[in-house]
Amino acid sequence: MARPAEATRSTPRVLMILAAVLLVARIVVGILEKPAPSSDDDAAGAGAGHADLVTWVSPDSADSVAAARGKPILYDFAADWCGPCKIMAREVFSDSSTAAFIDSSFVACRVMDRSVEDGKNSPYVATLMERYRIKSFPTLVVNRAGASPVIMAGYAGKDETIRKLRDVRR
Amino acid sequence: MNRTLMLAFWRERFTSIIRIGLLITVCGFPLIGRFFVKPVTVIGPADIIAAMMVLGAGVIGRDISTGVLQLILARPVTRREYVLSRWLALGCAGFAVGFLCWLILLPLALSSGGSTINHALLRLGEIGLASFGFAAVITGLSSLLPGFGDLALLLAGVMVGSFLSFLGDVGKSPAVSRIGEEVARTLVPMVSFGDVLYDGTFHAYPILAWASATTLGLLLAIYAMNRREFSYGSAG
Repeated sequence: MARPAEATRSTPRVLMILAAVLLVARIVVGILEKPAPSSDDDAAGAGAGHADLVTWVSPDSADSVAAARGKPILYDFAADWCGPCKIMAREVFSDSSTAAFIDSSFVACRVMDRSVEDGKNSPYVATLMERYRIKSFPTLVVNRAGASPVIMAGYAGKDETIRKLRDVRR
Repeated sequence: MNRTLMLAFWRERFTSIIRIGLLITVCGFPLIGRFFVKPVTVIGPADIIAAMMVLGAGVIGRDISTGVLQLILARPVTRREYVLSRWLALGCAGFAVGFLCWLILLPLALSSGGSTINHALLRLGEIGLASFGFAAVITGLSSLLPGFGDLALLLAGVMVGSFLSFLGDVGKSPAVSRIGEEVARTLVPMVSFGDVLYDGTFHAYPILAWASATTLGLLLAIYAMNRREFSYGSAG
């Protein structure tokens, strides 16, 4: 039995209104709201500290800065392509209270792996990675004078990372 | 929703040897790749887009070009019901594939420290949103052109978006760059909960952009289907 054309081609009024409202809200909020950094920014942030609140020192000056301040070195071994590194940078290093704790307790030094992009790392970075046997990213290493280094491979979440760092400082 | 239409869609898509072969390829290689990058992480929404393209290519367009649509619409099925059933079936199929890949990597990701259970669950939520969002876009594009024209439209749109972003970056024009990003966001709607909860505050924009793209895709599909005329006369 034939159905009337109006019934088979009915206009989805609710969907039309919803789409219009969402589109307007999207435009307004998109203009007013400060966006989160894009993934490209994140990649840079993992290396250069876009939203990163930790004060990083360069790998080749970390030893001298640590000796001068009398603090252990916290190495953050990361890579641009590493998703968990970006998550850790966002969750841990961009948190103001955590960053303050890290800055007050360690000399923070980020070591970026460039082997995928450039085919090899700089000799100093390669030496550090060899010294701590870095096999995966992210890996945090706390190097304390006169004690064996503490190596934390992988990112197990913000709370767990902070807990481990606090344990190391005790 | 029409259960028969959904079941027919799943049967057609998951019994096609070519599609299954492509699906295994586009899902298998990223999965294998992840096993060798330590620590292992669960898949994210971007990882299922290729699988969604394989599953969704010609979701409506194939029905148009093969003449199946005339037969379907000769039945007591409204055009809106047809579109929504196709969208829901494609979204569920994409999510099922994404869930399977997520599940395969989950034990390794948890044991290697690459993901926490909360992080993994958030990723699963993102996969769900991406599945249904992208399904709406593919459905909308597929209603415009027969056959696999939806993939051509998608490719053209993504290229236009990328070109605009490039132009904006080169010409140092944030507005042009933003338009390019919005085009890309609309064609491939995904939500990152990291962006939503960035900096400890709630950001509505990623969710609004996803919801807007999804509703626009569905609206486009229903509008195009309502405007489409079919001839039931014999060609001979």
